Amino acid sequence: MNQKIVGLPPRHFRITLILLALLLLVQVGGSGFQSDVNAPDSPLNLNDLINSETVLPVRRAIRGCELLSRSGSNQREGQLALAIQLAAYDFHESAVKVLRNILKEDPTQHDCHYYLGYSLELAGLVDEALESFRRYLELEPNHSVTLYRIGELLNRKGEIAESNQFLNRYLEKVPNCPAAHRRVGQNFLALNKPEEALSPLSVAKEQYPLDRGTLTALSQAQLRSGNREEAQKLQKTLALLRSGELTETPINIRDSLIQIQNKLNKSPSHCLEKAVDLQAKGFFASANVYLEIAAEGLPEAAAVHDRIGRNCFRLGQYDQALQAYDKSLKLEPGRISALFNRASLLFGMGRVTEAEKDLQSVISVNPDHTESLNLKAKIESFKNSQAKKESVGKP
Amino acid sequence: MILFRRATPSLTGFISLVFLLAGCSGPEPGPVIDFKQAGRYDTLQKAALDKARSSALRSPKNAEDRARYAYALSVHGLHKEAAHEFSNARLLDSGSSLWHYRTARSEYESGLNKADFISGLEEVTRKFPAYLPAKHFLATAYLDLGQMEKAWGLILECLTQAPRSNPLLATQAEILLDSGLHKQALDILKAITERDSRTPFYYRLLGEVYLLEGNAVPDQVENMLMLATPSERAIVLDPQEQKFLKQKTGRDHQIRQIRANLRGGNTAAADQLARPLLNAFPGDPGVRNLAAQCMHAAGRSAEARKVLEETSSEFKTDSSNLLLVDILVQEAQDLQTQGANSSAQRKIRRARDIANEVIGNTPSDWKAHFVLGKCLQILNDLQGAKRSLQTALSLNQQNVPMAFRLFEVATQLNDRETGKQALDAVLAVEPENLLANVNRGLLAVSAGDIETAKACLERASRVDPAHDGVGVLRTRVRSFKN
Repeated sequence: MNQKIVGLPPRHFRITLILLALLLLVQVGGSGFQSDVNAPDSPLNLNDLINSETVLPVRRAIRGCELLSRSGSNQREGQLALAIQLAAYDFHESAVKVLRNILKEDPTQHDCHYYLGYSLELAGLVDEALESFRRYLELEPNHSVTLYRIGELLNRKGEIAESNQFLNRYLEKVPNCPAAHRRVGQNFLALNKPEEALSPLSVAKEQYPLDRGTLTALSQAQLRSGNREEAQKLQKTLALLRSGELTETPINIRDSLIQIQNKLNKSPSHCLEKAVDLQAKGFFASANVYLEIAAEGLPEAAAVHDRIGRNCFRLGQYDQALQAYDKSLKLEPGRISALFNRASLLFGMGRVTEAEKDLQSVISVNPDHTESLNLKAKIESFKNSQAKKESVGKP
Repeated sequence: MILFRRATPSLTGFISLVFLLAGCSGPEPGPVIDFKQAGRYDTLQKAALDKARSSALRSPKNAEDRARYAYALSVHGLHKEAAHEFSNARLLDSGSSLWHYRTARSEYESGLNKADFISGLEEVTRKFPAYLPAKHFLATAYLDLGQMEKAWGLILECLTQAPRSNPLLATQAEILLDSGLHKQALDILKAITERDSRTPFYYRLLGEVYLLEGNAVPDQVENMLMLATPSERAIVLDPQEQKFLKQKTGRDHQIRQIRANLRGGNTAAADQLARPLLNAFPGDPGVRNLAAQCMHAAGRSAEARKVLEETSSEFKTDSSNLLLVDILVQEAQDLQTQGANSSAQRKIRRARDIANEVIGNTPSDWKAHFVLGKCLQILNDLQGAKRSLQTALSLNQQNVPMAFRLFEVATQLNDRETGKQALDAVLAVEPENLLANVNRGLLAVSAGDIETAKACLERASRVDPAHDGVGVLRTRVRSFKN
């Protein structure tokens, strides 16, 4: 057999060659991101980012933005919008590509350096990110958040003392920023100066008493400063956070770029979060705008339609509420909350028989469903009073 | 024989004519579809569908009657059945682009997987390349499917045909909005809503931009969205379509029409629409409350009270209770003017108790405090009335009649400070309000505040310089100077 393959190297040598080739492929694959971000000229291919599996609102947003960035009168502005849009959906690699292309064509686009730094930071490329932020700070020395970002990145690089220098410069401009106070405190801990860490960490805790990072650092600072009792108190709170008895309120930083990204973000999870927030404030019509976007992204999610139905009901849009409950129950016929909500709605419209049918479905699955039992009692009382009314005047 | 021979060509000709005519007779349409097993529809919708179906059954070969029925099905969401009827209209009148378009559109709308049905719409636009309604709908279908390039290209093409068309511009704004270009979308939507303030869909989009951008007052955005939803996307209409679309009805649709009329102050129209609605849904508490509200607004308060009182206690809500209070207050006032004081007192005490019950349920309901204030004023508990009205005004500073009522009570109590605050509340909402300016001016003169008095006089004079009150204020201001 071997004799037939004339001119080929021996078998073990071929295997070694194949292994080497494979190894090379793996290495190229592993450093894929690195090589991609460093290749600004390679054209952006949206098909690499989004496909039919990508949720519809996100697909629309990115495809639409890319299309309009090409066809608009101000292409540079369009490209910048595309870069922000890409970063909003965590496509930082592509955002970096677009931003580098803009800067290549027009280095006077100052903001691009900041956006670039941000995307590089989130892509884990600390050195490049730092370089971009430093460049931006040269161009826009009054942009305070850049100081914070540099401080954070220096912390990541282990340049702690320098990190605190930038953070303190930032705090001169934004004295109440809890995130910066927390990082300064953490840096002091890293520098083995627990007593100096106490003050900034306490400032952060004052504003965000349930931020895990602040509490952990402060507890360490107290312990290492000899305040065992204080540390124990903090440990108790941390234990409650860990067990879920308390809910964490993480610290957010005020950054206009993040604000823009939040406005653009149409991913279902973000929209659901927004909807919950608006519902809690009683803004049901506004919540439904976000829920409708979420429903487009998650067309099979019965819970989203159920929620839309409830909001429509609160707005007095009964037709729409009914349609939404129907949709929810079509997707998940045994969904207790949708069945109960539809029963309440139908009863509220005087459609008692239909309401009873839904209620029966709930009670057959969950005989202890309190709200359903209450509604059932209400229906019974209504039926009795109707029967009494009808019997009046009869012989 | 000769006769027969002579007759033969004529007979042949006649037979040929019969055959020819038989051959020329129109195509045979399918049977008129039954809708009863399809979808969910209410009493009013069923009546509208029945009516349209009867016409179609009477003249199954009339394209317009078949299409009318198809529209009735379509506007009530029965798209599959609508597609069947539109296809019959298309068969009967194949030259009409409208029936081709609506058949393809209904097929698309009825499809579970919409992408499978887009080819039908594309075919119509190929067949009728200048037909805007089909092209516009196709552009929106592309948008819904996420085919942004096709949607954008087609909408630009449509806009070259009709550059100022609001529905087309709204779709352009929708594409921009979905693509994250909020500012550009906002510019278009502002322009559209300036030209057309009646189409809810444009406000729905405008509200969405404001909401996503987060730079408008949340209450105002909510209000805008509340008034604009549910709304259907505006598509360029074929001139023939308008008459068919009027068939849309149903419980919620009628309720929206009634509310719009009430908001616009057209109580007679609202009342007229409410009657058939109540007939169709006599057991529906929401409909009963709204009908009662219309009756009360149209001056038929006794009937309104009857409707409310006959509603089962399980369905009583705070808003229906407050409406009942309002009716009782009015009846009491009427009785008082007729001199029937004890009956008036009885009614007003009942009203007060219901108002207190509502406040117990929802202490932040300004309407409840307002009606309680009215009750207490009639019961001559002026201090109580003042407290209730002040609470109501603190909860809603935009209600002018409420502020005037407080002014009235304050005048009865000779409490100038409260009167001044009440009038200031009116002027904050309506700076040109004639009566508020006159009264505020008079209060200012009596307090020696001549600058405020002059400012009020100036504003009041701008509205009606010949008004008696303005004359009195002018004299007081002059005499103060002298």
